Amino acid sequence: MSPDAAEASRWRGAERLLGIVAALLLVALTLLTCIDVIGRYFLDRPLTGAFELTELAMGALVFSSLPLVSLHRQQVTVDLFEWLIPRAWRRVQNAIIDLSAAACVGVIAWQLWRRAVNMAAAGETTATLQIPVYPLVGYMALLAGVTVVLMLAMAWTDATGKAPR
Amino acid sequence: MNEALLAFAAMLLLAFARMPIAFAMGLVGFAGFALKASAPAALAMVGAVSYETGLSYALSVVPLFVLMGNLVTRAGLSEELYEASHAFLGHRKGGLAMATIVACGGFSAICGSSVATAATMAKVAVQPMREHGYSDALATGSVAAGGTLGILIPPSVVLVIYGILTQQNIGKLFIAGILPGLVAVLCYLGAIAVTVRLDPTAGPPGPYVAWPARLRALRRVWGVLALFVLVLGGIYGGVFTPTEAAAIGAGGAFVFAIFRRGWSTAFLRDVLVESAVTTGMLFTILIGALVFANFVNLTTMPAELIAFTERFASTPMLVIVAICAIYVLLGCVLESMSMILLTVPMFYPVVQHLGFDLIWFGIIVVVVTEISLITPPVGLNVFVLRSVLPDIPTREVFRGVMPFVMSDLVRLAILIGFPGITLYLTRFVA
Repeated sequence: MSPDAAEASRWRGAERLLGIVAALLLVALTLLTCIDVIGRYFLDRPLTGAFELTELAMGALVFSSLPLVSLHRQQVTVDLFEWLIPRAWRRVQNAIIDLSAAACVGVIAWQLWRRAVNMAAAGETTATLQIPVYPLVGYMALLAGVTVVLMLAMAWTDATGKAPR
Repeated sequence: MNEALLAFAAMLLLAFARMPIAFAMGLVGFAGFALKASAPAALAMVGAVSYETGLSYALSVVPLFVLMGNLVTRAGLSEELYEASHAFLGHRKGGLAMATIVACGGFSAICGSSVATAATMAKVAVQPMREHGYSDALATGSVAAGGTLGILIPPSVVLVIYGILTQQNIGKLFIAGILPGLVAVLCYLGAIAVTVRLDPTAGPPGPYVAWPARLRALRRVWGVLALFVLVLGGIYGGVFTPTEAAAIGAGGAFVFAIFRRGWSTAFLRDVLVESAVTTGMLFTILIGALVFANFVNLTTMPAELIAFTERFASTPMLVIVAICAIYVLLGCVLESMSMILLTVPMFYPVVQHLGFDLIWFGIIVVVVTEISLITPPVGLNVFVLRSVLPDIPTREVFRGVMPFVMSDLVRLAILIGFPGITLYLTRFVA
């Protein structure tokens, strides 16, 4: 295996893993509420803490899918005025866009991390199940950080003109 | 006011330079907030918005309905829907196009996205129409227009977002979408009737299908009907909250997809990842738009907008018409979700101040958004069709949607003129 191919397969492995995590979270989200509803109506026993578990699963799901959105280049863009920009600028333009997007997500990662640290110090937990919240917020910050790294890598491939993955 | 307008201009400029809309909104909103308040305050605001949007219970409806829509799309329910409506309408002039509209309406009842509806029906409905000698314009136009029903007929992702932005009951918004959805189907059928009257060669009649075969075809759409009744009936009867209905709907769609296609881990993983990615994309836009909205709220714009519209207090309809015009114009350059997220936070206080019902306004916003989905130059549904059917020129599709755009304007006038159509069913929501 050439170094490039090895790197590509490592990326693909990471993509696959993230996809599986996001898929499982989505299944968990569906099951949580379904079990709660069925429990409440048929067994007279709603799921304790379903509300806050849903919140936690949502946070994990949204931030797990963030790197995938960038990887699939699924962000919504307006392609209407593309023709106005000279072809020669395109590389620089793409690199600048990737870098600004990385900066935006970077701020989010940084702020979430600060929040996680504060929450850990304050010992903040959910109301019903007393689950500590900081590991989840830390996870969200971490995944935002992964997205930043990914965007920087994409800025690099855009700028150097290597074929985007 | 000027600062907010300047920020809008800057945001559009960045978006036109192909920066993803989410980041264009977030970047400008952040910079504006930092200038207006302070940099630490802006940083804390971004952190709070990201955290609260990510961990929102109310927003969990979004991934669940996206998942339900994707599951039924991939399970191949669209074919049965099309065959059933074809059996009933195919023998009329333009009947295959009419069948397409009705099938789109049925599909919208379990799918909350217009793009998904158009893409799915394009794969099923266009080929038969071309085989029967329909013009490419009518064939593609009816799918592009019928697809827009996805966000009006509940469930609808756009209505969920509107409900959260304006703090309106999402269940009521869904129920409010039902009758306007039926009006939309009728208007589209009218547009087809007029089109084939003007040019009979555009949509020749197909063969007549006898009643026993019709009933057989109808029986096969029970799955769609069951899911719709489960989800909407549950909300209507007050059995489920929208979040619960969405989870039950997604669970039901899961069972249905496995029942239809057999267990396939690869298939399920694909659908789940696709839905997760769509969720991530929507939430990025949501966070960007909320950061932008927080900045706009710091400016004098919201107060000045209300003061400005105060002058029209005696003719509030004028304000509604002006807002609709702004939407149609913005819709020409912006994607629908970003447009709603950007404008609704600004417009709804004004509309509320003038004494209009916000549930009704939500439906009006969705209808103008539908128009923006099929009008040039960026009509998203038109491009969906082009990607599914690359051999049909975009110009032809835009020509084909024109009668439907006309009928959309008629429908908009009807819904503005008779708010009762929208609000009637909501009175009975438990």
